[in-house]
Amino acid sequence: MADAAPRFSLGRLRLAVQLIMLFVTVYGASLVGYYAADKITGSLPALSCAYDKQDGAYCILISTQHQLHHRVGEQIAQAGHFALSMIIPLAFTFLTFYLFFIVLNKAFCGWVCPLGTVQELLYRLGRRLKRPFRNLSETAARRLRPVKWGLLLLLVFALPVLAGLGVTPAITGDAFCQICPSRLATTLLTGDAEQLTIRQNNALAFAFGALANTLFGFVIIAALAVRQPFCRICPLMALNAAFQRLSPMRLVKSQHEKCEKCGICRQACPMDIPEIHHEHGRKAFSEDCTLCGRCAEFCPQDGVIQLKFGPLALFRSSRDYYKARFKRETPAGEARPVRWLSKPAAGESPDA
Amino acid sequence: MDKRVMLSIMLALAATAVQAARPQAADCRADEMNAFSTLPMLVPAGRGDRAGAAYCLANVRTEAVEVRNGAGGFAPPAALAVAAGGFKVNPGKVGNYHWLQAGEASQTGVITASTVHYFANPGPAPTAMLHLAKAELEIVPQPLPREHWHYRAGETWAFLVRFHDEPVKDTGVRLETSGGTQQVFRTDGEGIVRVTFPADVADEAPKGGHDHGRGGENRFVLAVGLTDQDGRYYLTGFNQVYGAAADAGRSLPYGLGFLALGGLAAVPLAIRRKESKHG
Repeated sequence: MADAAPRFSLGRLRLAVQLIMLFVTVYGASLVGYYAADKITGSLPALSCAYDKQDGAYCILISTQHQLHHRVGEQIAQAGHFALSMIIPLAFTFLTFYLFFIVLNKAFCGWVCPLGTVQELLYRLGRRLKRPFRNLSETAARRLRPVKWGLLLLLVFALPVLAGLGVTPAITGDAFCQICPSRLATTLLTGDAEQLTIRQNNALAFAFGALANTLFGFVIIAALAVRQPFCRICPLMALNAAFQRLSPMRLVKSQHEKCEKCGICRQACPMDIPEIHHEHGRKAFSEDCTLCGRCAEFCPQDGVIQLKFGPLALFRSSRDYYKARFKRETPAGEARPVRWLSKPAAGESPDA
Repeated sequence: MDKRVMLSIMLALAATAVQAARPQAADCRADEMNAFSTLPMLVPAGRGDRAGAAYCLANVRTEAVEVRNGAGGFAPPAALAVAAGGFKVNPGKVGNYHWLQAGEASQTGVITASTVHYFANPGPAPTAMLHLAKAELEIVPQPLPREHWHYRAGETWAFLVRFHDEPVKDTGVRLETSGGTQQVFRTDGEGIVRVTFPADVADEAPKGGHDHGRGGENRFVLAVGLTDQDGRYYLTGFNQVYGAAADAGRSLPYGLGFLALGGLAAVPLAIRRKESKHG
């Protein structure tokens, strides 16, 4: 990637990648083969749903829950003790996950995740429909962070193990999938409304279904005004955050005297991350960062914010790029109207 | 009480609960008496687990069952010895779709029973394994169910019927289910029979985990028989399970209701507040 070319925008490139990956994750079986979703990976660091019959790969949260349920919980219950061999398959799942993750880091959230893309498209629709722009205060953004870690520990790790041990009902063996909005979004995109239905013959299944649908309904309406509402509590964001320092791909911000007064980067950030405004160095690359690059696009200072892969700068902020970008879109994502000016007649002043 | 003692008691209780839930090793000879069909089948004795799955032979007699795990390409299948009318298949380290096949040859003909068992292992796609002719007369799923996409009542799935690797056209294929349905479908000009699973599955509460919210399920066997030019009779069966219909025990109105509830909760965020007028 290079500095600003007249028609180039990192945002446009990202949108193109997101749309391609939306197709791959939702309809990918038509590209990679019917059985390939079982084969490519069950460890994708993005919410790609196994309940979608046409998907191209599974998300790691599914494999993790299954393995904790069947390989760990049930095996402990049978053997009466814990053995290292019980977690070896889980270790391989995470190794596969890491082979993907090391290349893109949390760009899986910002560039690949189908639910992220759906939320962004809804936010764009909200701009078209003149919906208000609501961002989280710095305090709210920070207070919301523990929720995703709690969901990861409870729904992805604890309940599946407890289900395997027989402590909680077996339906909690894939507790996160039961409430995941991506399950509803991606299956609906294939024209399958089955996941929208709620089981009536089991109280817990009904409760999970009611919670899932309520959450999904909230997310799709909130996304018209709030950027990435579900990402803020997504347990996959937490899992990815746990590994984010182990990849050469990262966000880098250097200290600059004008940063504290400016703050456009935070306005541009779809996750309302305070650190991108106030911090620099490692602290600026927050656990909530999705490596979307908008902060770098809207930073008016040359080279202050960069997307880097090892020593290689993939994209760096620049004043010229910022000016061109700002003409087309505000940091909050409002498209600026294009003004078409008629060509002045010969000898006529343009201001006449 | 010491924490370790408490933990031991909890684990022991949990182990007892799991053992109680696990199907005991079946007496296959007794099971065969209770088979829902007289067609050849490989009937699962319980759901099986990561360590292996037990099967019983029904209406077919043989001393060994052939197993292909798809990982060996065109390598000869492994042979599993049959004992007391049944066998146990172990997953090994690779191969997820395992094709199990039992054949009984006599002077008058050949009887074959086949099924597929899925283990959550790494392995190649089963396309080549399905393409390979594995018996004289066979019924081949087109495609196989996936781990999260199973046969269900009301759904139509395709199966290829072939004899000596050639499609068997315009021939009756018999479907029998443990729900009591008996039905005949016909193959088309390309040997494909499209089977719609009957709505005879009792709706049960989902068990979760590997149940994937399916609830109850029935067994089925698809079978076809024909006689060759030499007068030898061939009978083959493919058996599997199918679940309740996608909408069984489910409510779309409730689903839409809670969807609307969530949407309504978010409406205050998405509406523009009137700006207050001062002065």
